Amino acid sequence: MSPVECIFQEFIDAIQTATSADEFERVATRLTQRLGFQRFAYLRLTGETPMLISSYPKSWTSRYFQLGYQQLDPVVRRARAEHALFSWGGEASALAGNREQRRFFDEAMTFGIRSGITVPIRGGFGRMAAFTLATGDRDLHPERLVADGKDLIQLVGLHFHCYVAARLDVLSASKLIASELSQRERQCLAWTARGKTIADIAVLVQIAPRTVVFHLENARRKLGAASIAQCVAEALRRGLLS
Amino acid sequence: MRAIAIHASQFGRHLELLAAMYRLRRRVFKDRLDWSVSVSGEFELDVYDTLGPTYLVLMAGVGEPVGSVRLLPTTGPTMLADTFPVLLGGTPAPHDERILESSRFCIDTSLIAEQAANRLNRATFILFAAMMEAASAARADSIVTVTDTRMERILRRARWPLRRIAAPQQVGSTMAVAGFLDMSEQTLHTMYEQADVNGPVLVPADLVSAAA
Repeated sequence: MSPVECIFQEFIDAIQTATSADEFERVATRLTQRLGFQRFAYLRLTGETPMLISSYPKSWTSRYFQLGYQQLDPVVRRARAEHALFSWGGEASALAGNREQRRFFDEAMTFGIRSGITVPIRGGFGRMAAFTLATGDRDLHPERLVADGKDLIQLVGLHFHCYVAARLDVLSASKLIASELSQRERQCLAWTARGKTIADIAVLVQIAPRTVVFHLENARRKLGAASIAQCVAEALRRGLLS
Repeated sequence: MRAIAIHASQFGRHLELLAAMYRLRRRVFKDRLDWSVSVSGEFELDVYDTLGPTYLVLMAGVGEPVGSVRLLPTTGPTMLADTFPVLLGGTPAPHDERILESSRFCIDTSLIAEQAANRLNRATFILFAAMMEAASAARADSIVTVTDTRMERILRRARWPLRRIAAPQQVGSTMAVAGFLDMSEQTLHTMYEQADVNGPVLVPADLVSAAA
């Protein structure tokens, strides 16, 4: 595999296991470094509350939202208007835009955000998001990377968006409601996870063995698992047994 | 013409083909059909692409793919259960390792303009045969799908009729319908005959790179 192909495969392998915002941050941080950038930011603007997963300095991101910079930020404005990935920053943008926007770039630069590449994403039903790789390094020229790794970065941004949507909202929310385990189902699964047999569990929980089987079967169905072993693994992964 | 199967563990190795397929999907589902799907630049992707899909990509010689379809296990979330439960007519959604769900079936008609009808039919038959081969390789014996009544007619003409789960419903601008596509040796051979091929049309992605 070429370096670009390796980076993409590594990213896909890692993101498939991410289930929390922290884990998504780690996956994207790793990718960012592999591509030679320093920071990343995934910003989703849907309705009232923006969603941010990023490795930008917290002092900058909290200031950003406090001052409502998402309205002013020329990168976000451009991401709203355009479909294709673009590079920004450096000398060119220090001179472009109005005074407020130039001051915004100056301020971002004091937090180590000098230039970058942004992938605009349209989510359907008017939703939008942007996935950005940024650097404070004067010698890194994002526009050159755009020429080589355009498809890679665009696919990474779009995959990140869909994985976040799948794991942190739509599907996980509906899945959790549909798959809420009962007390008994959790008990039986927890004992199974500790190596107990159905006969053991029947004694421990004081129910009939066939009732243990009944509860385990229900749990398996609720979690969409093909076997009890997969069901235990899935329940542990989702933190349902703790 | 042949179809290539790609799974998530092979995405890196087949990045170009994958990108070409997401491009094809954007052209068909966003630009042509104007579905409310997530797009970025030339690509289209949705949350179901994160659930361990297998993609079947139809190639006519070298160059851009001419069609594709996505297969997902039904043991996790499915389009039918989680996005279109209205099409179930009150029956429980299938969750079974012997059933796969297919979605995003498309043939790029603009790329098969010459010799029109015949080649278009052949591309469709070959992609159908590839779906059957991929499903049986995954030890499934049935495919469930959310589609529309136009596609249902194409399936009937291809002698692979959809076994409806419930009556069609108006969803947006289309008459949507969900159903099963059952498989047997007989359906597969009928499809091979119609596609005018002697045997398997599906190539595992790893063999493609070995041959290239």
